[in-house]
Amino acid sequence: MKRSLLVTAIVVAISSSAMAQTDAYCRRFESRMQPGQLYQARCADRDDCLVPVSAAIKKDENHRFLYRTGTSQPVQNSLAVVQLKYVGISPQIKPSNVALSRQQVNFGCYGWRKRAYVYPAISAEAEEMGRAAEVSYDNYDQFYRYGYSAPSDRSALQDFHVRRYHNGSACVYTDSPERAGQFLFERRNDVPGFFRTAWRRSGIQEAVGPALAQPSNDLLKYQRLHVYLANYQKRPDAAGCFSFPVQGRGSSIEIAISDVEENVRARTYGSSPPSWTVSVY
Amino acid sequence: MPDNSAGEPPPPLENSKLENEIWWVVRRVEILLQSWTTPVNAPTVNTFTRDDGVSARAFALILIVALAFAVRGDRQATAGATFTALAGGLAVIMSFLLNMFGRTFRVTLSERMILSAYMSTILVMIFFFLLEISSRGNWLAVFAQETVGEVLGKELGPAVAMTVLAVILVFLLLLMKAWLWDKQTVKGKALKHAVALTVGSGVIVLTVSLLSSQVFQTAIECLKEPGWACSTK
Repeated sequence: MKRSLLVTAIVVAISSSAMAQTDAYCRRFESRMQPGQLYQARCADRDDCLVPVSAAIKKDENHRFLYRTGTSQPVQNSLAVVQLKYVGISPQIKPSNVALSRQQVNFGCYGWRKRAYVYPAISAEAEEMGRAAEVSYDNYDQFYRYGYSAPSDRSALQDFHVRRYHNGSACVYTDSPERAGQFLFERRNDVPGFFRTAWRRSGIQEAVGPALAQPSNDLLKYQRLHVYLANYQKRPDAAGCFSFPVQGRGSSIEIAISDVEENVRARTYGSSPPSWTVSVY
Repeated sequence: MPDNSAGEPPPPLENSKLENEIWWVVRRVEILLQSWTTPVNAPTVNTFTRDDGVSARAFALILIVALAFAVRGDRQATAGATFTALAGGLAVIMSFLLNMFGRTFRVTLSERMILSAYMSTILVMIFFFLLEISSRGNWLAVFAQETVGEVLGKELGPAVAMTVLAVILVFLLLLMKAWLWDKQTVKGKALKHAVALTVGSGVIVLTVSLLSSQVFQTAIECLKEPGWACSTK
């Protein structure tokens, strides 16, 4: 009897804690949002604060965007990779560095028993995003495509990386090709297996093989790349919802969103994610 | 028009040159494998000349430096550390460890022992990066990384876990090779030498995997200008 009471208490505590973690903007506006659509919240206290994403945003100001996922499947928890690509006035010589921010993830799993683990937030608030750790584009791409990084950016990438999490039915690896590929900016369906990775990492490919694929020229138009790792915990009869800050920079901003678990379920992880362009004035 | 089809030597074949190169490499690998045993001063007959031994050492060092890039995850084309800097830094670390090994076990640093140490390092490096690659979705490697990472931190933990696993594998391989192939008695001195060889190699691999490129560059500067000058750079 005591044991069942204790279990019930723990379940209630976890549930209420999960509810408490639900995004405040989502709680306020979720019922008025369409699935798969991106919105901007200009304030948090009135219904008319929620506007469609087509509106332009002001330079040098922080803005809050919201996204509501589809309602098709009962996936409970998911990561959402938000790629913020700030278009510059003139093209860069090489792809710009990638800044990394992460919301707190409450459903991580860890160790032999896959116990619950909380990944803390990293530069997730609007005022912290300008100070987010940056890694070179090549090292970011190599980390999510091949699974390893050079020492120069290894620490920042491993801090940012959520290795495993409970998606509601199992403890899943973010390193799996269908999930890791969703963190990439290009060639998302090209996450090689063991032998191709070993071939590349051994250096033999560089010495004798064909030239390695280079980042495309499209990336040179961005003066800044920022990856914001959001997440949501689905509740019964409700879709996932999350919000994220965006800084008014550059001439416009391209926002691409990958709902990791939804894409795995729908097998759309290799294709380009839905994206929106917001102009900056 | 003169007929050149008869009486002239045939043009040199490119293939035979490549074949010679391949045989040269195979022979160096054979020498390294032959020398890789425990105890390091076991009485065995060397089947290679002194010149072969010297070239095998050079070959091993080049291989170690090339593998150092793989261990670090650096691409040779874009790495901050140059090939020369890595080679120099590694040579300094290896000489230091080998001298320490010689003093501790009171053995003379023979050609075969140096080759044996080089071969251990090569094998630990290969296992290290293969294990790291396989840790993508491999529950055993992920568990080792997470468990050690919990104690030592996210950067040091995984590197230590992979090094320890690689050292254990190479240690077991060395004992099996000494026992089954070289017909050595694997106990006492042989075990101590095997531990020292593989753990020493592990230390090198861990150092290589964690040190920033800048450290290697500074080490080279120190070799050029010993003393305080290098510490202030």
